Amino acid sequence: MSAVVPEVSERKQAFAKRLAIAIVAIALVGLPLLFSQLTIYRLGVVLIFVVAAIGLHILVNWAGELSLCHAGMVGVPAFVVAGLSERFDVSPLLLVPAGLVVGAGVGAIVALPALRAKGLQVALVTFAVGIAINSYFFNQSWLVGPASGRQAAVPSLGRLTFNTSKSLYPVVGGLFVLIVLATWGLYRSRVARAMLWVKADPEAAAVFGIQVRFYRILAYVLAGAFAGLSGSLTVVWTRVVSAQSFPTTLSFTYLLVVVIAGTGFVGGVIVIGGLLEGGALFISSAATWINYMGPIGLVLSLTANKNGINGAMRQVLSRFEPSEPVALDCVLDEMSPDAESDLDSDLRRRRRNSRWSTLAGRRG
Amino acid sequence: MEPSYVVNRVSAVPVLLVAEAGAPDDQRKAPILDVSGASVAFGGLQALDGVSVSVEQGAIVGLIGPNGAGKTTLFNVISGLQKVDRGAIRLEGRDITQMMADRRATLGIGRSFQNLGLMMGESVEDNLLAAQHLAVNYRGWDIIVRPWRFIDVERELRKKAVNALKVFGLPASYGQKTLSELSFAGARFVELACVLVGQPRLMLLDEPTTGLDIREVDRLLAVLSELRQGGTTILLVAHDVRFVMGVCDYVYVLADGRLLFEGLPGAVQENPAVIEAYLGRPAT
Repeated sequence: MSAVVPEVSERKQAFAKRLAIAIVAIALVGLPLLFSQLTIYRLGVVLIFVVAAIGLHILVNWAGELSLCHAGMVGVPAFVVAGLSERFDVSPLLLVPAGLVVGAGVGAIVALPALRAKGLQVALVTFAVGIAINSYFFNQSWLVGPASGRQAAVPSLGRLTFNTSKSLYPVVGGLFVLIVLATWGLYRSRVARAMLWVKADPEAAAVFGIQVRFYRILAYVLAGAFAGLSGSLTVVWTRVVSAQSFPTTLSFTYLLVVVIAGTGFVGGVIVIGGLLEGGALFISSAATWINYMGPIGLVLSLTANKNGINGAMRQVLSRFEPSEPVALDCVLDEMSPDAESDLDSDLRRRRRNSRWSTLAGRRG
Repeated sequence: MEPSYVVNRVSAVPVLLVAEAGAPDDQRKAPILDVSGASVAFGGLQALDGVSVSVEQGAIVGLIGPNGAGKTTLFNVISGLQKVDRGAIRLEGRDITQMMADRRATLGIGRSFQNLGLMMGESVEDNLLAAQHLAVNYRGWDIIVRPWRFIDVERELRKKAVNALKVFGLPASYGQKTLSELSFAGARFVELACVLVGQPRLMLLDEPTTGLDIREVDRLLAVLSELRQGGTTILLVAHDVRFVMGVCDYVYVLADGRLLFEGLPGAVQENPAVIEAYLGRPAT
């Protein structure tokens, strides 16, 4: 009996989770269509910003690496996509995979010097790469085009042409949902687990068969791939990109977002990315406010709340988790006193909950 | 009263006695691990000096010695975390001296750490899933291209994780706890479960009894005995001499980076050099 109940309960929970995800995804893609073109445009910019931040989140919070050249990793693929689209009059939407590949390549190149450095040196090396990209590559006309920037072709898919933000939003919003779902899969896979272990204890990870160097490089490649996606979606969304679109300071904004977000899935990144980028875009007076709140949030994350927003969200969610009706007594009979004491408080809580549920059942 | 694990003396000793007495070669078990003349120096400190250790298939072998004897360095050498200056390491006759740690893991070497080599900020289940890294047979792109395969494999891994917890008497719900919430003993069992779930052929256990009370040591002893019956070979380091004497078929004693003595547990306990190394004075 007790074995069946959790199974049914788990299925119900899984179904409820999937239903909630589907509702949020549909709402994210569909609801904004009720808003004005400008609001939709701003929302699209926020989503694309978050995609790039997810890449840095994987690098920093999953793999324990660092990059201060993330803006450059977004910019290079953006210019490649814009240049190809402009030159061959191809829809930038069709060039999104190319942007992803270029971004992954840039990530791999950044990994080469970064993995030879340690601690503070990683920050300095990646910062130097960021400066190099900004001051050299973003001044090359063969890459960035004229001073006014590169103008990509109008986004289209087959016979469908997307002239307005409203018409294009379902495509970009849908891609965003797919990217988040793919990241969820990645987070629940051996890839993220290996990265997390490499971050926690590389020697122990190696002893359990994890190729430490490979996963460190992979983290940079994935960060680059997400940056490439963000860069190419920027071209799709704004159609014009110039050397000023990806300043070095943007790398610090991305870093700010992921540090405040903390270890975990991308929920914290979406919240903080949305607040910082969305706040600046939607509330004209918020720019100054964000200038203060961002660094304060960073200090709080590094000192008072080391698990960041993700940790805080986990704490809140854990309060709503239903108790499992498992008979623990039989297990405790075989258990050691220490393990018992660990479980003791948990058991008391469950018993209390079961009493409450029995009482509630009688009342019902 | 004697702790019960001393009474639980394993029964494989006669097998080794027969081997030592000169059993025919075809009846002798081949060593799964053979360390010969391993030397490691850290600057002017000779951490290991020509140490040779051999571990037979299916045996539980102990490695004891006072602090700084070189036990953990030898474990690092075997598991691939420390290169040797001289000497060779062979696993089932294959030279693995130059092999990286992750490659050695694929050959069946599993290891625990004295100070827990786990992801303390993650859940117990995530740690157990990560420990099955080598057992995962889907590719990264399967997450997008063949999600059903990814989901099936992950489900199987979760089942194995729950089973590994059960071996140590921990309920499945324990899997959802964050490792940092657990007591040291709880985390120690999770680490041992992590090693176990990888189904290694040679388990290296570094101070597995640290932080455990007598009941927990009993459980560990029972698990190790079951593993031995299943054919797993174990090399363990422990400060708890009585535990080592109770569970091990054969014991190596290290002191100052050198092999001081080797033999059956009884012989080790009576050896004057070993007593002196532990007590700091000659045996009376």
